[in-house]
Amino acid sequence: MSLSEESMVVVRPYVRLENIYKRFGDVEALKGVTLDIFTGQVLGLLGENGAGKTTLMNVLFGLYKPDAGLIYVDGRVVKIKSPTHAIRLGIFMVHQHFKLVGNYTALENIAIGMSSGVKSLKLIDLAELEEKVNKVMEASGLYVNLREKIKNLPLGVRQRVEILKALVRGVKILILDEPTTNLTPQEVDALFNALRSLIRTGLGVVFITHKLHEVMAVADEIAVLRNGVLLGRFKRPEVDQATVIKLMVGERIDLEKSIIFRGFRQVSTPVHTENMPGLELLRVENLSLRDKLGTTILDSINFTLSRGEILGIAGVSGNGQREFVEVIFGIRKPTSGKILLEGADITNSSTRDRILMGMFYVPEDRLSEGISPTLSVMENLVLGIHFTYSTKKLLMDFKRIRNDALQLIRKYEIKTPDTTTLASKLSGGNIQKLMVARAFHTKPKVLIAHNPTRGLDIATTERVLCEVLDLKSAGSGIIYVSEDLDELMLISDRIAVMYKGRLVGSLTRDRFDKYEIGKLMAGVVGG
Amino acid sequence: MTTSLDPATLVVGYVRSALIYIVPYLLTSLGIVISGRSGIYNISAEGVMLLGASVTFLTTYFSSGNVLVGISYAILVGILVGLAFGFLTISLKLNQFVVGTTFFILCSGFANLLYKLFIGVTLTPPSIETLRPLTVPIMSDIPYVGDALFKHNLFVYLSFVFVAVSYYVLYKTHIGLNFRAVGENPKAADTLGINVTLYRYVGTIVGTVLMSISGGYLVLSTTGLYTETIVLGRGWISIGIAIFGRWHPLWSLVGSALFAGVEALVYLIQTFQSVLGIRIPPESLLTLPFIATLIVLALVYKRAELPQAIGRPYDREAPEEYT
Amino acid sequence: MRDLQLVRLVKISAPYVFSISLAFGIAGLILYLGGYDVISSYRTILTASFWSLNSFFLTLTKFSTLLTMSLAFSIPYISRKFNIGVEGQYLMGALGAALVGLAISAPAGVHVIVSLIVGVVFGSLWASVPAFLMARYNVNEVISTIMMNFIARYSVMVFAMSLWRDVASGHPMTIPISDTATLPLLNPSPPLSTGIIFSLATVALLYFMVALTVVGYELRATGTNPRAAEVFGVNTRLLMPLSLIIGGGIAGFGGALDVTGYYHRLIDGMQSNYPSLGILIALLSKGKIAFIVPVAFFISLIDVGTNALQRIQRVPIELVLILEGLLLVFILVSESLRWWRK
Repeated sequence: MSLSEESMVVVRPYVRLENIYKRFGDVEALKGVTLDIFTGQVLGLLGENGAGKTTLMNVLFGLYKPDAGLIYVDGRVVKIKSPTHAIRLGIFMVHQHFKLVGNYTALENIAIGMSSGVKSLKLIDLAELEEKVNKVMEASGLYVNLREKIKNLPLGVRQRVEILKALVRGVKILILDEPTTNLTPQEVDALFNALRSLIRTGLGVVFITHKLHEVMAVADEIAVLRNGVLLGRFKRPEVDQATVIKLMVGERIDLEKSIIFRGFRQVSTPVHTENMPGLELLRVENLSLRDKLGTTILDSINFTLSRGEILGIAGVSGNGQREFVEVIFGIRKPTSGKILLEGADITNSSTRDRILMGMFYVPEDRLSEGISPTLSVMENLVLGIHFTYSTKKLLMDFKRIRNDALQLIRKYEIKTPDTTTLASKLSGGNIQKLMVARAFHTKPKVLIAHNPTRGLDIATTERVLCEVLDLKSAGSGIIYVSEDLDELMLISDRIAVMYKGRLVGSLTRDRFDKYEIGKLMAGVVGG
Repeated sequence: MTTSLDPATLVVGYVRSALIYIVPYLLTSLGIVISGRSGIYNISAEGVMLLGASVTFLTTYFSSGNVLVGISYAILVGILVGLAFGFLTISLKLNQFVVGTTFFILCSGFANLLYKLFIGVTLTPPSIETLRPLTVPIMSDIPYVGDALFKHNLFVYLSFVFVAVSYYVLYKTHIGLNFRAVGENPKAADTLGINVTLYRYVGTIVGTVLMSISGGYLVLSTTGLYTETIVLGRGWISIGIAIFGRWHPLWSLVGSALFAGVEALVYLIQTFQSVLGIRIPPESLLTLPFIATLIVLALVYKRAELPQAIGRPYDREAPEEYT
Repeated sequence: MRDLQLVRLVKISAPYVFSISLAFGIAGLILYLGGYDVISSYRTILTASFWSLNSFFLTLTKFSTLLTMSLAFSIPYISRKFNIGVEGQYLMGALGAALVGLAISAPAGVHVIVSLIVGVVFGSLWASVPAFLMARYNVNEVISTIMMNFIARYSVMVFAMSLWRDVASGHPMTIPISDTATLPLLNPSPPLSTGIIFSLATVALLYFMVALTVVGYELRATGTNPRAAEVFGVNTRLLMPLSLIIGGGIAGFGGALDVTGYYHRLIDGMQSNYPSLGILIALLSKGKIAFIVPVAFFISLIDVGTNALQRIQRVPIELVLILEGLLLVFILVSESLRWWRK
């Protein structure tokens, strides 16, 4: 159905969000947003991280109550009290964090909450549900092994289970929050295809993303949000990309100088060391890791990192990236293999020793691994090198810590009332800035960064990428692990792919190709 | 118990006492498992058991031996404690270990306070009649087996029924699927229509009621007395049973059987010390269950499994951070 | 300006005032229902410590014990571990000191010092079993330390009734330790041991350690987020069990101080309700060492008062435990409600 045909008929939106306001503490996340959502089309909700897109949809899904404004569903005003209520109204949201029970099978996950009253005390029989789900899988083209436990399923498949949960409950509006985060390029295409066929059956989709090229590929209409304000709504064929980018980013970014939007083309330092041993910074040989049950987690990893090189590690989350960086940084010891830093064998050195030798790390999980929430901002800024602030290894020199902290806060624009503020009071973006500041402050020779720009707005992302490039120019080596292929292709000198614990492929910049890398991410051998 | 050394009689006697001793472990560990499966880690068991014991004793005593009154009050107290514990941990989202430790101390304190207020210090402590055994028709006539298994008081039979029912409900019904989901991923359950708060309150209260009844049983079963040391660590050991039973009702049954067996063994040795001509100081024997707990906990560490969300409060509005 | 500060002060202290009133209110209700005279009971509870120099010194003695007891819980609590085993560690420290005081002879100064050291060692060793089980087998320290408590209680009972049993007494206890093994007195009559000085010194030492040293920083980092600490090179695998062992040493020290300074013998049940009171003090202080001092003093006051009340009016001594427990609950509740309102 072409869009021009659609626009001839006056269709009432299934959902209307009118003048929605939402505030968290002293941050106004949504400032009077009005948005219509129609069935039978994909609406791309575009905006940088922190623009309010997820918040707006969380309001619709009953997770947050709006401070002001009205919500109309199917023409009637409703107060959405809970996600359950939203589902009953025909709205379902798939978050970035899947809401699945790892120990249950896919079918059991779909079954949660699907029976009530006396029936729920009878012996459980999922056959009927299974039939229903099978029909839905056929209609949508999204197939899943229903008998498999979620924890054994790859992320792309888990996402399908989430969508099936919605379809089985007969929803009219499906909201997807940054759904491509953990998909290979091929899986992304498959998802887009599935969405298009679902649209034809009358479903309405809201596709939240911060990537313009995604909405351009799949959306019928695009709505742009910035700082909690809806700035424009366009039909896709009528869209002028430059305008949309400008709306998304505002005035803070000089698009001419931006890394993200113009790309980093300058290659200043020679990068591949095979012929230049003097430039070799880190060498990893046959690194393997097995867990206590004997399962292989990392499988004979080999690579080198040169001075001034950014090695990008691509791959869908869950293929061993986390264990990989933990072994390199010393948090875990490998089962076999060697790690050499500037020629010295550090395979069995402690993390502290590695920090002393010039390694540092930005972990991907800022809340659970990045900060100590009830320690102050200044104490957090020195975590890892705190002992260097001591006299005779005993007393902590808090004065010097405070001074350095003030400098870092200023340099990285970390929004905090004071150096003594508890780190948990900082917003997500500022916590990320703290972690990045802490890492760069140590002027590491080798920096390991895992999704360092996750959840950051464009200006801050720009800043972080700049710092990474500065570090590279200063001669440090960076291992940049990310699930964001676009970002990797932007700044890496070389990209390798992590798949099921093996490091496959090693493409230099001149050979970067999204689909080739995608194949490696999906385990297709032989490129 | 006779002091005959006939092996058959010994075995029968041993199984009999094990079944009498298993009840408190069974009930309490079941309570902890059920709470745990909904996500609440309740370590106040020892205190709640003592409180249940005290209340059961006092109300039974003052109603001239009416056990029904005693147990009803135990259940009532269990509900009240469960509501309070739930309020603090579920609604106010306080740290469950802090609340558990505090409730352990508070409930123990109340248990002794109540006893002292109503009975005070007496030369000979008052006692109530212990439970009479119920013989199961036909089954109890089987030689040996009948004596060992089918001539017990109501609680013994009921406990096993509770375990069976819990297993069925938790693992074989829809409502059990929903319930366990609350302890594994409350956000997932919440999104799909499960009232996480309600389920957790139910889980907590069922837990505390079981603990309270378990304490009442202690008073009603062997001696008919209440003392400050009547629980003697069984509440804590039951937490251990829940842990190495991997939070599963049937495995807790196995664990409870193990400890009941140890208790029965201790009793056996004490009874036959004189006959066997050996003298073991009673205290060393009494430390057996505690040492056993330590050993078993260490042995099973490799296979530890908990409900994923246990011990963590659930807040629907908590910001979604990328984990 | 001063009005604003006053308003702020009221806002901050409101929950605590509210909690104390509510806790005392409920205690009062219990007293009333039990048929006791509420007003005079309150008076006794709050003032008994000051009735005589003797009662005041008694308060200080309990204060000394409660200080070490709550410190012993607090240090592991800072690294997020629940050392409910303070009771057993205290008892074993007491046992160790009693052993030295009864079994060997030595010149005056040396004898006491050795007793105290042995007390610390025994307490640490007692905690090192759960610490090891935690480090190697991931055994939950709540359960393991409590198991050790029971074993310690029996050990003390056996010891008190063995070689050095005081047969004249009806209650299991040992004969007095050698004079050379007793702590000197600050005041001869009524007696006040120097133990209080040792306890206060321990508090100061640990405060210094936690707030100002690298180890203290690492302990705190481990407690607030063990994962982040581990990621950045802090040896959490060592620190968490170590905090338990330090806690054990402190509790053992407390036990040794009580044997050498107050009881002069090992008595079955000498731990009384101190372990529970100490744990509640630590929880009330939220693991902040500075707060332990005033809170512990307040609780000692109430404990002496309740003991006096028990002697005079036969009010059960559990009242102090319940008062303190209720206080903690109400403070936790009112604090979280205040956070809600924000």
